[in-house]
Amino acid sequence: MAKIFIDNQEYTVKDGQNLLQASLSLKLDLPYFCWHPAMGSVGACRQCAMTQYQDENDARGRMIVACMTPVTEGMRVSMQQPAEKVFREQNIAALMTHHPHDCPVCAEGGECHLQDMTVMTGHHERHYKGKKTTFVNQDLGPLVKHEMNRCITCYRCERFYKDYAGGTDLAAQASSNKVYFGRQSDGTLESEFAGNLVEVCPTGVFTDKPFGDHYSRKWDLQSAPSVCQHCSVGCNTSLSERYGSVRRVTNRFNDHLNGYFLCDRGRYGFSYVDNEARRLTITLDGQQSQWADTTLNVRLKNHNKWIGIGSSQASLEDNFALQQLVGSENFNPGLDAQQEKLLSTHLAILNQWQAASLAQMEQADAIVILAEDVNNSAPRIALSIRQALLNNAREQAEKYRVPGWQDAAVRALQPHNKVPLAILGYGENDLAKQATIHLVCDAKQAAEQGFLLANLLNDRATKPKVTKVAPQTLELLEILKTAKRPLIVTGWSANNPALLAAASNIRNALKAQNSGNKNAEDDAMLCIVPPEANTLGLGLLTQGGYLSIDSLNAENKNTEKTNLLVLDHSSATFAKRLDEWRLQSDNVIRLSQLGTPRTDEINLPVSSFSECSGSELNYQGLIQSHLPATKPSGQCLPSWQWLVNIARLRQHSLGEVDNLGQLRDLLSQDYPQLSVHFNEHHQTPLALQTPRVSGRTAMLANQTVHEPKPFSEIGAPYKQSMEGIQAGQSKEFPLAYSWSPGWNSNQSNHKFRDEYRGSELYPQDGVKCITAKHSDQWFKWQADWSKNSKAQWQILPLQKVFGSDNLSLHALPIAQLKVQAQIVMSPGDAEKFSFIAGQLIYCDDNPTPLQLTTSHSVPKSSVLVYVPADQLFEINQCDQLTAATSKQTSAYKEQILQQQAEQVTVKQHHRDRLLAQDQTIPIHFIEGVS
Amino acid sequence: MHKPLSQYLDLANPQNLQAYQSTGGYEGFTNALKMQPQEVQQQVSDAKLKGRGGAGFMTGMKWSFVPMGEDAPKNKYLVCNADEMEPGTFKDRWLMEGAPHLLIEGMMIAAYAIGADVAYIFLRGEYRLCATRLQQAIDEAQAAGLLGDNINGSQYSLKLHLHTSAGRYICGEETALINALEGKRANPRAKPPFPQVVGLFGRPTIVNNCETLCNLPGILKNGADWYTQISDGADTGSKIFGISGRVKNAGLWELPMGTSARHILELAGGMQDGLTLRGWLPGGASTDFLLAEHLDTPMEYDAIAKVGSRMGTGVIIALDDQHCPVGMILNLLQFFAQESCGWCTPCRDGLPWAVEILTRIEAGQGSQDDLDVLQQLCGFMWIGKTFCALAPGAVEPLRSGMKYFADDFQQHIDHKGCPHRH
Amino acid sequence: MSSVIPIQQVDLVGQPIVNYRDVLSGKEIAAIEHECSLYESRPAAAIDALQIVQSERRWISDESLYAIADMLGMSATELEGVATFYNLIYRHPVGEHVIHLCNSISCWLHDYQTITEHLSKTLNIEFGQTTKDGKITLLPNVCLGCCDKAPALMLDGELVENLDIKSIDSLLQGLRGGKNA
Ligand SMILES: Cc1cc2nc3c(=O)[nH]c(=O)nc-3n(C[C@H](O)[C@H](O)[C@H](O)COP(=O)(O)O)c2cc1C
Ligand code: SF4
Ligand code: FES
Repeated sequence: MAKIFIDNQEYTVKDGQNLLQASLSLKLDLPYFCWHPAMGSVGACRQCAMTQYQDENDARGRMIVACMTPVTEGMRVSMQQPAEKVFREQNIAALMTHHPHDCPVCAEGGECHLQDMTVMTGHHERHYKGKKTTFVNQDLGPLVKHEMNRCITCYRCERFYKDYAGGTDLAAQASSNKVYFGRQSDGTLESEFAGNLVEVCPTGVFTDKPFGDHYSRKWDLQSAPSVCQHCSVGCNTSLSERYGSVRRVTNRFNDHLNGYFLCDRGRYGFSYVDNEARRLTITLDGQQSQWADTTLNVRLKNHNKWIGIGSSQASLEDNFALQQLVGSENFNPGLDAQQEKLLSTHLAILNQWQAASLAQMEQADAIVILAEDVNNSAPRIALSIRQALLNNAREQAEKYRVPGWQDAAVRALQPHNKVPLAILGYGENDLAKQATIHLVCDAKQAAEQGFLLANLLNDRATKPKVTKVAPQTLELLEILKTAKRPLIVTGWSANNPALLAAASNIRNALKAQNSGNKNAEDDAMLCIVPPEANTLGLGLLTQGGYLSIDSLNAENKNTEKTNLLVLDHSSATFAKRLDEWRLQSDNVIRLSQLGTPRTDEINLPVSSFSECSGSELNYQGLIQSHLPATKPSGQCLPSWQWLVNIARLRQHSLGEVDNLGQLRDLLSQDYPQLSVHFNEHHQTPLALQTPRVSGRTAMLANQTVHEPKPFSEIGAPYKQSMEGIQAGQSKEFPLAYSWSPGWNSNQSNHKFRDEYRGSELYPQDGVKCITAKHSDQWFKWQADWSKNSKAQWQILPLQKVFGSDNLSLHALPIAQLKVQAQIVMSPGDAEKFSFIAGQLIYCDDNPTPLQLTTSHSVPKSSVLVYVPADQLFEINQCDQLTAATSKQTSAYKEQILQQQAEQVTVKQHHRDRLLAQDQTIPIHFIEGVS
Repeated sequence: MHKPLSQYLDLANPQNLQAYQSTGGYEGFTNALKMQPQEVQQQVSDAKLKGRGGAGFMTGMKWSFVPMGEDAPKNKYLVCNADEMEPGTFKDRWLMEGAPHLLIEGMMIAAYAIGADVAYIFLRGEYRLCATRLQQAIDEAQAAGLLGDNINGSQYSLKLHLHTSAGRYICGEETALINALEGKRANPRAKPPFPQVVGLFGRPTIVNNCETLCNLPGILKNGADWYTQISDGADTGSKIFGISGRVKNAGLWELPMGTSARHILELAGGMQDGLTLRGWLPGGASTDFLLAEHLDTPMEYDAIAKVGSRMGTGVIIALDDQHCPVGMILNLLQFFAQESCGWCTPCRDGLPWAVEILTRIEAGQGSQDDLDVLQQLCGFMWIGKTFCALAPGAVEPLRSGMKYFADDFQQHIDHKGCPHRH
Repeated sequence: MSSVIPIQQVDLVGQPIVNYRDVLSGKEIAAIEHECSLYESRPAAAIDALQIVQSERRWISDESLYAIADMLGMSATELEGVATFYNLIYRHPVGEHVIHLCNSISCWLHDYQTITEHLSKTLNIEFGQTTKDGKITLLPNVCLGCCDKAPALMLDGELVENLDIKSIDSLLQGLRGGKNA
């Protein structure tokens, strides 16, 4: 800690940080642009000028830029010196010589950091008499809109995109006052983190395109604290609504998970909630129906056995309600046999080891990734691992007495101070490009090497019978022996439980390695990536037993008919599985968000995450709850509510539950660790509107002077109003939005969070439902992990950010970026079979055309296959690869082009629909709609 | 007087390796090789050599920050700053065209002194003749075993490469130069870390001006004492001084440090007939104006600073009474605005603003408050406010010009036009 | 910053794929490889590579840009950022001959404007333009470092000093072109 004096007032701040960060942490108002808490300082914009004095007797002082000045014990500085106040105003005046006066039509208006800073410096009069520089904008694809004239050249976009996220297609161009930030030519931004530009840019150069199509000012939006549904990280988001429709997702700061950044699947994937495919009505055998319908009632009361099929796409509450209704022994988690093994292994490991948070992973000094393509399965984790790669350079910088937040210096040192990153696995991605150790192998081999590695680290770890130790493993061994904070990452995407076991053994071995030395802290970290937002929620519920898929299949062979009650599922693979069970069922009752209902089922429409409360367990087993931003559409109800209603029909005790609070009480009875979470987050009214919200209460004033009551979810004790706890008033409560007087943009975080309080990490808040009790349990190598395929080609699964998550594929902007099915071969194999990159290939008689790419990251006798989640592809080996005929190829191309064309129409249609829907609120606020 | 630099100079037909060696060339380097690197550093410190790139920083001191010894990073670099783009400055070109081996020997000495194993000449792209002659000299030295592995049978090895820039004034700033050598956009880097510790490709790097390096062979050949006795002023050694503008014989001369500007003007034969001197920039476009009354000031770093300017490159630009000071300042500022790298706000947006105002004033469309804004802009871009020294350099002729030629500014406004244009 | 990528799309999904060997000559490739060998990283040779290709082809087309980027293992966008930073890299076609006329201070004191006007009138082009016959491009240049022989220009890299109207005329005659009628 250091004692410093700002304008003669004494403060105690953490030393080592820069003066800007320290001042903001003290909640002082100092304007800035180029600095970013996650990206460090570069000193480009000069906005954060302060005066520094040598000592008490120095009356003049000299100007410094705060972001480049480390705080030191006893330092004396001023923010109020006239010279620097004038300078800060001049600096804004200089920026304004270019900046257009287009705030009224700018999508950033009202949440613009530049606006805020301009007001803060007091600049309000224009002295510049010349012309403004103007630029041509680029089409950057469906997610991000470009308006270069508004640029104030703070270099944040480039620094985020290129340096922080590793994108290569956005950079500064030209120079002097003509610096231009864009691509070489028009085209969709390639990085899956491009959407963050919207929040990183302090003004309106990069704005959210889909949001712009159905726009509202920030101050008119009502936001709910929400949790991303598109992978297992559970990034915290703010979900914003106006006139009953969800308009956008923005980042909601969480120091241990997403920090300041989301991936684009999370930012843009939400809009499936108003996709045409959303189910809005009850259907009975394909026909629209009503809850009171007698046939429906009779079917729901069927006395045969009920089997419940849960879903990792549904909330903990929904799955729990289903489990209660059908009984644990009849509750199947909706996974396949391999996934069930993965789940039980995963749970066993989490019972032994806590999973590292993203912020913790950013501290790693050695990283091992076992056959998990984190870049595509949990992109936000990959972004954190990318930051860890700078740690050695940062340490080296500190040795030179250069603080670690001096971003350019750290990056200059990185090439000679690499953090070791070992990838044992297949496929190419951003992390693989940075790997210092790379073993191209399939999941089984990766697991074997993992077991061997654990054994080499500690001989109590069991050894698989097989194989040689790869030289890469030996190299890795030496690294792990000295690493202080090693990180082991693996996951479900290669579909092999052996990987999880291997990772756990390495983790165990690392602990044992240190146990000899009492002083050595065991700071090794583990991260296992499950596939979906609530996969571990299923894990929690099935710990006490469940109906496995094998038993379900067996039961299905009995003659006795059953009833199936199926929670929300939307993947093509699940649909196929369900079709087999369907034959044997009296009734299939589906609770779904999306899809066309069949004529042989009852379909109850369920509220999506934007319309109701619910909780998920992320990859760490951390429980997080989301709140609704809008009321349920159509006849939708939350799944748990339908299940309660069914229970009432059948006089089941679940029917006694009146509201969500009671359901959560029941949950807490079974899982006492949850009660803390539910109490903390849901006992006090939470305001979802900013104090600035305008015109909301008068929205219907021309129809009725009686204001409608704000929507509130039954049993959910928070308010869709300005009343109650405001963002930041208490750390316990999630912030719904970020806003503070004078700070209208999302840069306002520091006003109500402690996140600038220095570099060391606070413990993670929240409740982890699966808690580790350290035990030295070693996994043994299992015989069935060694099964070898006899087919010519082993097919290894690949994932894509835009394609492997089915929900987001129903969001138009993501659908437009969807990657088509691909096959990856080694260049040697491709040549041997005379295939050329770009060609379409078929596996055996599977009808899915796969486009070929070649890569050196393909193990022997294997091909990598990626198929979008909405397409069926079930094989994992094949004997023959055949090239498509030219007729097939042109048909395929035709089909793709047609899809693209359709998307354009759908997009237009979608927009018209939303705008028309707004017209029921009689305010004609968007041009062109009468 | 000793002329450690120009004694080797032949512009029409520069000395080849043999000729250079036969007149004492490479003796300094041979002496250096017999010393420990730190001893070479000491000798240069003793000679009190100041960098000729503009700032006048002690060369020996600058070198002393380079990590030395066993633990030092393996690769270190020496870079010759031959980007000479300061308007009105042409001394480095003269040296490189006239005595290429002198520079190469100087670089070898410097590289040895800091333990660098690779050296680059960062040459501005327009200097085609320099490029040809330097490359020729490098090839000769290489063939003779003066460059490459185990030079003269010693343990020391050095590679020397010529890099021609693609043109940008900011590349002369040493950290921007490093970015340019890395093939990047030439934005300056923050200091610390200083390039001596984290420089080219993240390794310890020394950037020295071409003329600075050319002084080393003499020092190493004849010793520090010899060098310090060349001048009897505060600064040691000789300096390439020069003058351009409307003088009779513009040119360059090697003179002892501390020679007066009046002497330099006299060597040039004085102003052209019919013209009188109104002001002068002592060392390139980024120095403050001085007046005729300052002509007797010795050309020394401190002395020039005392009268309110900077020695800079030591090559004078003379303003005559027929040319408009406002026009001259506008021309200078246009240069700086165009050459701003675009990294920091005051420079990137402040300079074009100043140009906009000056353009209007020069065209007779200026107003009184334009002068106020201009004055404020001088403060806005002053030392300490910007990221590097480009913008403060640009402000120097502007602020001093507004002081010394205030009447001219006023006339432009009062008479709505330039009094020098009829 | 141009709006079209001139590279043929060989990929079904539309990623432009460039192989530098299809675009650059053996001579260019060899020269660039040599430059690469002088630095610690390949992208460090970016500026040298741009100059090498430009000396062969007069300017850097989009196609050259993509090829060089491919060869150096960097993105075209990043290389564009470099190319557009430096004054002597042309991202637009230039004429057979390029005149760089110094417009800095010593030449200003020697009334370079008169030379500019004369050049402009004779060639019928402004700074930054090329004569219609594609012969001559006229560009301004910062101080050429021959202030003692002002005004000066650089013609195709060669210095021409102590300019006056007469020497300009004979210079242009030597080029036999520059008709812009
Ligand atoms: C904008 C700017 C341009 C510069 N241009 C040059 C230059 O062309 N040549 C040069 O030697 N130094 C130039 N310098 C100074 C260098 O940054 C650096 O101080 C010098 O190369 C150090 O060499 P020395 O210690 O030998 O003087 C420039 C500085 C600035 C701020
Ligand atoms: S003062 Fe700023 S913008 Fe100007 S050249 Fe230096 S860093 Fe670049
Ligand atoms: S925030 Fe400090 S200079 Fe930009």
